[in-house]
This record gives sequence, C-alpha cells and structure tokens, in this order.
Amino acid sequence: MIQQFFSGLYELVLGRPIPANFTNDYREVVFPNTGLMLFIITLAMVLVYYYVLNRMMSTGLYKPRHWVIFLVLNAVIAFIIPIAQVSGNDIETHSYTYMFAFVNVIYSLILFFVFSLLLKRGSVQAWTTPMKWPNKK
Amino acid sequence: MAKLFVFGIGGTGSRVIRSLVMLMAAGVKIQSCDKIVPIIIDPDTQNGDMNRTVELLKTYKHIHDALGRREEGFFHTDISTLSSIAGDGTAKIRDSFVYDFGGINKPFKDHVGYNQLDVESQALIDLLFTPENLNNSLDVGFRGSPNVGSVVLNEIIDSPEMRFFASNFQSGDRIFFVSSIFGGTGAAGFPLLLKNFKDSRTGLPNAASLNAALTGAMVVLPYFSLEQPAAGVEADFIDSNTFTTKAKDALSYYQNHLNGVNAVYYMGDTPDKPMENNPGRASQRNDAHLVELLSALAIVDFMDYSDDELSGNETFHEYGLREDVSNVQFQHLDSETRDRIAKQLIRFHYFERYYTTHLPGDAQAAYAKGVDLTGAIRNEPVFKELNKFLANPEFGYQSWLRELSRKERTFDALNLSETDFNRMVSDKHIETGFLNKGIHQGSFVKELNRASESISDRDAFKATIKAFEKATDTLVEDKLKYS
Repeated sequence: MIQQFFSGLYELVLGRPIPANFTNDYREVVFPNTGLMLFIITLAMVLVYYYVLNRMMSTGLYKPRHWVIFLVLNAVIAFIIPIAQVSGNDIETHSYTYMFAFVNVIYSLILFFVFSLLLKRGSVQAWTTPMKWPNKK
Repeated sequence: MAKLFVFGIGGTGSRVIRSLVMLMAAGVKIQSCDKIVPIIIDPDTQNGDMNRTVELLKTYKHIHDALGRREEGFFHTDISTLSSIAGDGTAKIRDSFVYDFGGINKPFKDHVGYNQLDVESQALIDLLFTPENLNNSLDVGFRGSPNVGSVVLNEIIDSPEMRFFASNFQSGDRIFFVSSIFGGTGAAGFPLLLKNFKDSRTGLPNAASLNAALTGAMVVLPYFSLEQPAAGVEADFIDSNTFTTKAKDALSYYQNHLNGVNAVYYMGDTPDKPMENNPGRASQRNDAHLVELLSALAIVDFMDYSDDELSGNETFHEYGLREDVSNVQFQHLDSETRDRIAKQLIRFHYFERYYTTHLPGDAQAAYAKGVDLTGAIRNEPVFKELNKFLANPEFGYQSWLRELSRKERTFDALNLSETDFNRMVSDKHIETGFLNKGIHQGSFVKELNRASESISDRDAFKATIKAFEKATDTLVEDKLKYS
C-alpha cells in the first residue's frame, strides 16, 4: 500500500526508474523509504518551527525569513535523502537519481507549506507566518 | 453611575488637569464614578497652558471613545465634555472642555462701566482696584488679581453653561475644584463658585442636589516664581513676590468663609528657578511640575472616599514626600501614592517607549500581522490620535515627562532618554546576565504575541492597546518585579 503510494507519487513525475535492473529496488525500498522519511522529517521540522521555537521557547524566530530558512533546510535534507538511499542500497547512480532528488525537493516544499498551513494556528509567536491566511484573529 | 465634575480654574487648574489626563491614560483607577467632566474656566482664551490641556483632553476622548467602556486599562476612564453628558444631543451649549466667556476683550474699567458711575462709586472702585487693574484687558485673564476675578467670575453663574451643568447634576455626582490660591483666576473663582453652588437660595436649577453634593478642592499654594523685569524696565508682568502674601490673605478668607466643602487638599513647594514672566495669552505655557502631578492625585484620593466618610466633618489634607530630595523617584513617594500610580505609570511608559521606538519594525510579528496593524496605523485616524497623545511636542506624554524633569525638583522616576527597558525605572533596574537579558525588544514582542492570543477583538486599535496592557503587566510583574 505504502510502496504503491510512494512509487506512484514519484513515478508520476519521473517515469519508470532506470537503470531498468534497479526498478524493483526503487519501487520496493527507495521510494517508500524516501517518501516516509520526507513525510516524517518535514512534519518534525514544522513542529519544531511552530511549536518548539515559537511556542515553547519563543525564540523570536517568527519572521517569514526564518520560516524560509527552515523551508530551505528541509529542502536540503530532502535532496540528500534520495541520494543517500540510492547509495545505501548499492544502486548505480544515474541522472535519474538526481532528478529523483530534485522531485523530492519539490515535494518537500509543498509538504512543508501544507503542514505549515495546517499546524501554524497552534503557535503563539508565529501563527501569522508565512501569512495570516487561512487563520483569522 | 455618578459623575465627577472637575472645575479647573486658571492656569494652574489647566496644568493639574493635564497631569490628571496623563494618570488616566496610564490607567490609574478612579473610584465611585464612571465619568469625569472637566470644566476649564479661564477668560484668557489664548492661554498656552489651557489650550494644550484642551488639545490633550480632545485627543484622550478620541482614544477612549475608540476603545469603548472598560473597567481598567489604559484610557479606560471616560472623560467627557459638559455638553455631551445630556446624551441626547439636546445641549444648547458649545461642545467644549472650556467654559465659554464669549470673548470679553475689553478693559475691566469698561466691563464695570466705570465711566458711567457717579463720582462716589468711582472713588470706591479706585480704592479697591489699581489703575493697572482697571486698564488691563480681560481677555488676558486676571493677571494675578483676584479682586478683578471675583467681580468678573461672579457673572458666570447665570451663564447657559452653568445652568446646563446644574440641570444635569444628579444626586450622587461630585464636584472637585482645582485652583491656585496665589494667582488671579483660580484664587477668585474657587470660593465664588463654591459659594454659589452651596447657596440654598441659588437661582441655579437642581439647587438641592448641588447644595448637598460632596465637594472637594485642591488648593495649590505657591510652588513657582516668575522672573522680575530689570529695574527701570517698563514691562507687562506678574509680580511673584506677592504670591505668598496673596496666599496668606486668601487662606485667612477661606478659614472663615469657605463653607460646604467636604475635603480640602493643600499642596505647595519652595519655588525654584524663576520661570519666564508671561502674564497671559499663548506665551503663558509653563513647564509641567511635580506639584501638578501630585495635585492631580488629590482628585483620585477624593474619589477613594465613600459618601459616608466624606459626609462628616470637613477634612484637610496636605502632602509630603518621604524625603526632601531634588530628584523625586517612586521610592520617595508615600506608599499609598506609590501603590496608586507607580505600576500604571511604568506600564504606560514601557508602552509609549515600545510603541514609538520598536513597533514600526514589528510588521511581521503575530500580534501586528493578526490585525493588519501596519495598514491600520496608516489608515485609521485613531492611531494618529494616539501618536499625538504620546509624542506631540506641545502637549504629548513625552513632552510632559520631559518638562517634569526640567525643574530643580524633578519627577525623575521614569527616564525618557533611556533606551534600555531594564534601566528605565530609576529606582528599580533589572539585573541582566548571560542567560537573562531582562526586558528587550525580543521579550517584549514575545509577550505581545502571547497577550494577543487571548484577545478576541479584530479591531486593530483595541487589540493592540489590550495586547500592550497585558504584555506590560506581565513584564512589570515577572521581569521588573516591581512592588
């Protein structure tokens, strides 16, 4: 189920994994691992930003530029994960690998933004970051 | 709820009301009434002291009206004009904080019809008034001459304003007079108005309520002196050397003739460096003085007493500092005074300092973004009124505080030039260290964001003021730990 979901998600943009002899490795291991890690790490980053730094600790990192820093940091992690997964599973590195990493970065940006919209209301210092919408006073 | 009518008579009356407005802005609580109605009485329509107090009152009223009725907080006390107390728009008097003298701009001599009098009457007038008294134009006020003031002010009792005041005076309302005893307008006006209000045969409406009204008075004794012109120089001036003599004369008059006042407060100080001698008009704009601030507290004190406590024998109050010091800080005030004003003034000072210095950089902070504060500051007139109240160079809070620190006996409790929040309160500095930065921009904005969480108002002005009230309260309690 999870395998099918993440494989579908990545192959939707990237097409069938190449080299062809590693297709099954991608579908059974790399895509699900990368997708799950992306989900968990992005959620953790958003929680840290909104609830640890801007609720429990009130660090003053509430401005949109601070949010962007976390977004970029998450994107960097999202770029590293696929490459680490590919090399960690003895899969031959290919231009496909880097395209995969790039798509993962795009997904990380979208996911970080969506999590922010869903969770920012619970933050005291940063509920209007990166913008007030959809919350109201 | 009852109203408190405050008659501010003459320049000192205006200046004390100015300090009272600052205390009200800071949220100092006034008991037993839900509305203060100041009535400034000064024939000098261009008087600098009066005009800036009136501008301050108007600004305060705008801000209070925007915030609405509240039990506590900055600007929570309702200060209204006399005409507005009718509430139904039926008042036929000018909507103003100032009694309208209708432009008396002739010499006193013409006012009493000196030239039309017979010789004996003229001789009597010559005995009672000096040639300067007779020739001085009344639109400058009474220039320190209560004998002139007592004649002119006697006529205001029959004015539409006084009749309107009396008609709207209700049982339970109180009256408070603020005047100096050493000048002209105040020294003459207070006993005269009191006599008329307490006269059982007065022609004013609602005489019974007026006669029975609980009445207090702040009698300001000499506390400043004026420069004297150089010998041989012909100059228009008030002779401050007569202040003490006039005060003694007036006190002996009060001793025997002041009936119907429930509480009298006296306040004075040794005059320090003489001030510029301006007998009237726009140039009479004296710096705010500690005595005026403490005099304004007499009004707060008077309202603290219950009806029963005031109904007995007359009470007389004087004020003393704990120490005779030049730079007066909160620790030098009696604990009762300190409890009444210190925290409120500190909170208001923090608010003013943060609002004027740091708030423009907070556009992205949750408390500001949540109510689109930047846009509101740009577009809503009430924010301009708030700016005026805080920073207007003529009458704003900053200039008031600055003036208070320019005398020889200064009010030095709050330091306007200090940019570090940890050192703004003279008698209580916050100790800082590597892990504790005390109060700074970051901790302030944190408290503002936290405060705004529990504020449901979507109105930017209301939400911002409430956020500052909560934030400053937390900062004073938790960081400054002022007690």
